[in-house]
Amino acid sequence: MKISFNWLRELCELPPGVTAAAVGERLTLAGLEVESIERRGRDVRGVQIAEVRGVRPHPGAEKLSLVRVRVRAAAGAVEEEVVCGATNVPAPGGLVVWAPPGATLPGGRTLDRREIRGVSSPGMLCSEAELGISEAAEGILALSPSAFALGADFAGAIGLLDEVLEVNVTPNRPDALSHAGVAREVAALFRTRWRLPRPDQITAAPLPPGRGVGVEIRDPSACPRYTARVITGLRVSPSPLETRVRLAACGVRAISNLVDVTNYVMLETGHPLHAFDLDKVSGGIVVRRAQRAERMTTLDGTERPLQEGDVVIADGRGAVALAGVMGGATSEVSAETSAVLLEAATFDPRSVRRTAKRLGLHSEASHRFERGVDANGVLHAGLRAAAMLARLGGGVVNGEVVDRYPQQQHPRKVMLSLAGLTRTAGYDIPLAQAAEKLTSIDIAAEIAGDALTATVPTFRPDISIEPDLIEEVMRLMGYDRVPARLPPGTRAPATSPEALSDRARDALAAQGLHEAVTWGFVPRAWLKALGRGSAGRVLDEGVVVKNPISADYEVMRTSLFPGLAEAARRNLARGVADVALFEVGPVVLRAPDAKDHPIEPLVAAAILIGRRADWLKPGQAIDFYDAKRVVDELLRALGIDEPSYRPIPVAIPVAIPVAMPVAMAEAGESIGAEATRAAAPAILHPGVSARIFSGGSGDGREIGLVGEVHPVVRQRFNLEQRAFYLEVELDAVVGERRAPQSIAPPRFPAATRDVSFWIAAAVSADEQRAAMAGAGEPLLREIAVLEDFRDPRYTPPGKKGMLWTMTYRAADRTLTDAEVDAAHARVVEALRTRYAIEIR
Amino acid sequence: MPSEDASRIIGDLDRLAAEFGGEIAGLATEQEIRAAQARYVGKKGRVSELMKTLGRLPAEERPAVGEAANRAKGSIEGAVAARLTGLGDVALAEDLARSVDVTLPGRGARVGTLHPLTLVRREIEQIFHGIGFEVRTGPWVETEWHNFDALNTPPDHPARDMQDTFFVEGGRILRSHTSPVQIRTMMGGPPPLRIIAPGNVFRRDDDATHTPMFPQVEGLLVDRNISFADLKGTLLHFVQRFFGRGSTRELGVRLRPSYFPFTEPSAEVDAACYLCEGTGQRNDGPNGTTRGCRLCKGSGWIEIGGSGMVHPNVFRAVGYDPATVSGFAFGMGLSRMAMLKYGVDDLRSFYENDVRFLSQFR
Repeated sequence: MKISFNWLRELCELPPGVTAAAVGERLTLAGLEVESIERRGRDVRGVQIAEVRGVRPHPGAEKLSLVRVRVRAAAGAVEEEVVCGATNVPAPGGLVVWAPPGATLPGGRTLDRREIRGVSSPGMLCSEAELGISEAAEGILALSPSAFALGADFAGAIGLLDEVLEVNVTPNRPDALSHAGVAREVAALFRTRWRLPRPDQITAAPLPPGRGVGVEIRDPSACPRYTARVITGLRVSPSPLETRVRLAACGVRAISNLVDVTNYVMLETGHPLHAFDLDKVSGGIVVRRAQRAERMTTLDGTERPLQEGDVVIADGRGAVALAGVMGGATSEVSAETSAVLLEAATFDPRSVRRTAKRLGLHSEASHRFERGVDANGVLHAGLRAAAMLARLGGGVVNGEVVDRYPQQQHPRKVMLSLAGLTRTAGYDIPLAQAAEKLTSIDIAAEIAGDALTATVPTFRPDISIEPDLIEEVMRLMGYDRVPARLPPGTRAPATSPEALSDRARDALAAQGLHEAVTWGFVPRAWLKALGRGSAGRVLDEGVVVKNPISADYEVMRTSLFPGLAEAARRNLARGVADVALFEVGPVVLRAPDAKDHPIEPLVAAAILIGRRADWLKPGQAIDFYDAKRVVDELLRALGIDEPSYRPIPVAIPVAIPVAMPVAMAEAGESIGAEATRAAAPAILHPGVSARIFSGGSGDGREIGLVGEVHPVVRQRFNLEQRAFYLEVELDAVVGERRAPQSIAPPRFPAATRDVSFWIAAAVSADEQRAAMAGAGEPLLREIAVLEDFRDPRYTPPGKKGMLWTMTYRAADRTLTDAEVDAAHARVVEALRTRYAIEIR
Repeated sequence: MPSEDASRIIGDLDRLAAEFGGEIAGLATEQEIRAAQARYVGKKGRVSELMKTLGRLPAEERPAVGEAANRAKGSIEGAVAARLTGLGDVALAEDLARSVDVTLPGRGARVGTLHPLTLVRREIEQIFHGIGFEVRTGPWVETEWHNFDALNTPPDHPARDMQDTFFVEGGRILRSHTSPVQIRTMMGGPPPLRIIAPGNVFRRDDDATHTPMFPQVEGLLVDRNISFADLKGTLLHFVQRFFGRGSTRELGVRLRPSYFPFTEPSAEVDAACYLCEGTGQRNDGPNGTTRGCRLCKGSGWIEIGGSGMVHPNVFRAVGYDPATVSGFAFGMGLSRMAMLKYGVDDLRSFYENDVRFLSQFR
């Protein structure tokens, strides 16, 4: 709400020297936040009001004339002759606006003395456009002689010089959506008085024959009060300059005296008004709910379908206005209007809000009606506007006001107890002081014992219970009066539900990854690009946002992969070569039964692209094992010391073609749960990926996946380089990491023996290890792999070279070489029995 | 008088000792020196060989020869020790002559970083944890009842416009604030309680100063006889710890009357600007001149969130009795806190995930 400081000062006394900034500060601290103060009219400087003395033709130009004006100079009144191109120069005695040399106009223009066709002109006479008041550039501005003093500063005299407070009025304060309401508040804060301007005196003329207006309210819940007045004999013209300047200051465009009056009174009182062209209304006015399939054309020219909850003003032919939202095109006032029906009413806030929201018609009127317009202020606003219309439009107010008020609104009695006030405020406020504060904003308060009874006027619909009154008292006292103390009593807070995800974050950051935050919703195409997913987790169908801002935010993410892939792509596009990003957060999955609440598993995921860190030179390209190491460390931090990794069975066609055949997904279903689950990492390369289990050798729950991003998926996300992705579902990882249990370091030395052999490439390291451990050799303490050698130049077909190192130790003695050799032979023999190996 | 034999042996011993000295002078390693030593004084060394002839001498001459042998051995061992020490000194000197370019970077993988929004969230959680608040979280997808109705914001309430909401399938919404966590927590157990609820929220806003998803943190304390003074004290405690680090004066907190449907009375929360310490002025103009603080735009205050006393209708919605318990709630935007704390100018930086931006927050 824009509040003109000039206007405010008319309504409210202010102590001398109080600036707009000071008023703004006090309002802000009382709950009407002043967001900014706009200084207006500062660009029109040194421009004064001059009196025309005579006009003669310009000797050198047919279309110009020389206007002699009386102006005020330092020495007193003098005459100047100004070259002018306008044809509307008033007769002698008329007032015009003169910008002398040195004066400035909007746009940074500074006037000087200029020779025009051989005649020297001191500055110029200004049009409205040149003064920045309106678009009117035809002719100069002529002022009404009675209203202004010769030589007066123009900007000050017409109110152009103003400060406009942008007040952020919270939705509970409809009373503050007007200059009068803000004046009431300011007067309370500065302990001064304010007044509501009284309507001009009017002498009511009788209603012309056949122009009576009947008003019927069909649904009082939709319209508690409706008043109507008839004003005839009007002449449509622009409003006086001061009115237009004032409207402009408040951000309202001047249109004509008829429309401007309704806006002016709304800004003054907070009551929206509507003027119908009386000649276009036929029959009586009916306020009712819209009928099924009813339509009407609003004054913006749009035909709108109505719904049964909408409230309309109708005449004998149909709806002529959407109550409280917008007038209708058929009854709109125009330049030819000479008689109006002036509506001052109040409508059900909920209905207005529903209608305005559905039709996207947010207006100054609907804004106020939605928040609540005081039914008891309607009569005043209507009278004020009618009188102004009569004055500015030269018309007469006819007959008595028609006032239908089926739902009387009464001031509410609300109790405030001293105990309640103290308990909430946290400090002592005497009831007498509370009563004084309430009275200052026109809430009558009567003290009886330890409580007071407040009579809350109907313009404060927000006050209905004790805490509401407490807030009024506290805010008028000032929140700075409240002492600060820490709440008494302490309790040991429970462990944070974020503890697990925060441990995951720390573990991933410790591995050199950077934490990313990606959007919770993603484009639909991103999910489609992920492929079907497993039976337990559908990736390509997510919870749909029904009113997304754009296609970028259509569906809730079902995986963290798309967001991380996009973040990686952006980094690569910006020239960042190595990208290691992680995110920890929920994904949103449809519940198996769509009627149920979606489930939101917490997932930790990461994407890795580029090279391993090396010293002073670029390192090797990262591979599967870098990603696996990240998983290992992540899981260790989550209390899983021995996870296992299983490849995806190669028999299952996990590769998804660019256009994935439906048959594939169906085939997956028929192979059984195991196979279907194996299809889970469809976003990963089938040969360079693994499913992660929480227990050793494939035991425990499946908790995630890791691997190279499938080349097809990679393409879909415009990633040109190999990328590695991992994710662990944190909800599957329950339990806290236990403190590590210490084992005393061995007291006797260990001996190591290596074994190197060729073995079928398909036999995994885990299988070899299991075979060697299977020897049950008691002296064997550790088995570590040293090499997996697959250079085709040296390796027999279908084989790979393996190098293992074994550690042997006894707890009670130092082993002899012979003992170690014997133990090692038994271990190697166990391997040889299980697999065909050829010792290298 | 010693015999001729004895004299010859003594002469040989002395000569061997002198010869040894000459031999090891040219040797450069300890191994060679030890080998030479063995050749002279080892079991089959030349001194030992000479001594085998000792038996042929008369008994009275043996002590003199033995003395000469010991002298020779002593001389050889002395020469070895001296030579080794010399070698050690050289080796040490050579070792100490090495140097590195200390300005080259250190070796090893770099540690990654946590997102600034995570850092700020954790710091806030820790501050409140210290005064007994426990962390609670809730789902993104919510019911309108939890997000609005239970929070005294019935349908068609104008306050619903304050937060333009995303609707999802199934008649649900994306939570527009973290306040539903209050409702879920209160419905989950009786008072007293002190919780802090961080998490992402969603609103239909997308411009330079709004993102459609953003993190908030919400606090709620419910107990008997909780007043506005407790709210103010709690927020003051937070502001002084969160912004006050390195401040020369105690930072204050300012509450301004405002409106939220779920609190009454309600207040906006301003913290004293930590940059100018609430003065609105800084001496960072040209030549140390004073000018308005850029962070708080000269006001001395920065807006950090909203707060208030829990509305009785909220208590009623969750089955608490507003006559016996009272409480306060507050909420703030984590992005704003992170922007203030780390001097981030552009809100979008938090969501672009540019590694060059992220890697600053070590």
